Amino acid sequence: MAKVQYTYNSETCKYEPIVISPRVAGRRLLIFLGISFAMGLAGLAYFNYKFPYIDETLQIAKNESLKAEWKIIYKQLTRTSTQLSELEYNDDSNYRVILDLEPLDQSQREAGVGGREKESEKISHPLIRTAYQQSEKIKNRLDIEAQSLNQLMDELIKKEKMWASRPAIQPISNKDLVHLHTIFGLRMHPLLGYVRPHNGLDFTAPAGSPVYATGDGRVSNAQHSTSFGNVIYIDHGYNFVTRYAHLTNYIVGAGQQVKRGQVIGYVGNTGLSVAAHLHYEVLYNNTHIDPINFFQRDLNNKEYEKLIEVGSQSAISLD
Amino acid sequence: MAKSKFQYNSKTLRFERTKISVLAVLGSGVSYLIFGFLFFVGLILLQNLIVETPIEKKLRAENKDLEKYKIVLATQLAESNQQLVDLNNKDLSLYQKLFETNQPKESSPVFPEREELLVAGAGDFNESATQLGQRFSELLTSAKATSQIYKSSASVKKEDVSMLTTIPSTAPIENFEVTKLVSGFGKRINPFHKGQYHHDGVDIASPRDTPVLAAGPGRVLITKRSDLVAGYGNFVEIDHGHGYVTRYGHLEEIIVRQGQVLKKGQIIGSVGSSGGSIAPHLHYEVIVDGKNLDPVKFILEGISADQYKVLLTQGSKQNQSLD
Repeated sequence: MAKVQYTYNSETCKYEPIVISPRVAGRRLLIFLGISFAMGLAGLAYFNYKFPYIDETLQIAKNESLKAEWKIIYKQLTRTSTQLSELEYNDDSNYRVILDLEPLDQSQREAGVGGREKESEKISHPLIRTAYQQSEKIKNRLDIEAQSLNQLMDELIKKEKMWASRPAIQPISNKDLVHLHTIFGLRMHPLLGYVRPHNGLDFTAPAGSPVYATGDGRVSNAQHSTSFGNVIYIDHGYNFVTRYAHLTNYIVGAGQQVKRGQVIGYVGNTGLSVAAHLHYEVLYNNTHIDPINFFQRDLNNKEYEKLIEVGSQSAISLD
Repeated sequence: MAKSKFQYNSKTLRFERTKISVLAVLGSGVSYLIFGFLFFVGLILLQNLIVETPIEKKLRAENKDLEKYKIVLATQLAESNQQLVDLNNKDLSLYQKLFETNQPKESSPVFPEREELLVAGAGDFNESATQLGQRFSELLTSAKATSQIYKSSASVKKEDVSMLTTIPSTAPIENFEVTKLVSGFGKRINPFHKGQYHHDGVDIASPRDTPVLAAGPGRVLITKRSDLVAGYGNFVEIDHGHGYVTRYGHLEEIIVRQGQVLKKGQIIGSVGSSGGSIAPHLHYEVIVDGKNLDPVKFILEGISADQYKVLLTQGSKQNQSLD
């Protein structure tokens, strides 16, 4: 505890304790605070003169760290754009070439960017605006590329269907085949005894050997005729029709969808025929063409079995 | 003047004049400083709170934008990258469907890029150095062997020279790129029946109407035009002499006639999709003494060693041909 202070009163000749009135105390405090405040003010003036403004420093630091992050965003944008360009290049110079489609030109690839540009006009900061525009451009290109890939996929599926429909295998397995008569065109008819065009190929095989559909298609006709005997017509679409004649019997009916390799009937000797054989015709645009062009003769049995299996599997799944 | 202050000393029982102690002065000084500092801090905070300099204002706005759009763009980027991944998958499935192959599209480079080497660790570097060393000794051995062969056959016969200048050696289409060779020689998948068969040539995919060139000087042996949707379609055969014949199938147009003498690189027609073809491409065959050889071995001119390596990989993929 502070000791009590006294003052000597010369009038009363006594030591009297000093009594500090509130006014005096208040004044003293004010002086004290005033001086302190002046000191603080001086310090502030000095600080402002000597050092940069604190908020500015803070904002600058924040700005720098943000800009560093933006650099990464820029890098990522560029990387995405590069990868997309590779995809576009593949699309244009590989797939579109092979699928026989025109490549998309630059204006098509960048279509629609203008519409979204208004949004970016609002951004005043050049760094952000550039990045934003780039990002928008990438998004647009992605959309267009997605559409393009979808189109390519659709086209490919369409073409796959077309390729699957093309007569492309031997209608008789090599293991059943006794002899392939490669005469196509004019020849002496063995029964009729005069020259008439032979519009197909003859596969000699034991009666009852399975006959396979040579391509996907729809059975347009399965009937008995005097010359062809039991005959099946398959419409493959895309202007291709195949005919299988002299069958003992057929196991498909008109209107039925068949797959390549599916058994449609069995080799027989019906109609104008001297021995069990399959008469096979290929028509393109209603014109007979030599079926020899529509199968590979060097295909080995194992490969053939594999192709037949595809047809038989599909036949089961269709039932 | 201030009155003197006294204190009552209880030991001496006397009033004594209060001495101004150093400690007291110091104490009041420190308290001034403390309060001064507090005022200083308060003022600075107040100033920061109230005063906003133009620079600060600008920066603050900029930072706000940077922060806001950082999130916007990061989201957009994530979306875009996700979409890109999807598209890449689509692209891959398209590729695999188109070529009936499960093989990856690109083969990784045998040697790392120079930049990668620079940042590679010591282990990687050593590995690359060993690889390079091996490669070097391989090359040295093969160079020695080659020089032996040259020594033993120092005299080159006139007909050998004529053969070397006439055999097919250039790419058979204009603006050939190694990536255009989409299907090579040997066992391939037939696009129509999907079975394996022997592909007697190479398929070079190129847009319709790309000029087809004579791979070497020679005489036109056969030109055939066919509407049949199977086989070679419109095709040309060129006899280069010395038992070398080249065949160019699925052409759109043929602009040479039988017996015509051709220079190397002369245009003979254009790429098409005639005959049994699923896409516009050139089917190119090299026949030596009646036997089909791998045409990749005869595409030599204007191709760097690296590109040739790519060509070999492209040509050896067991994929689907364009027939």
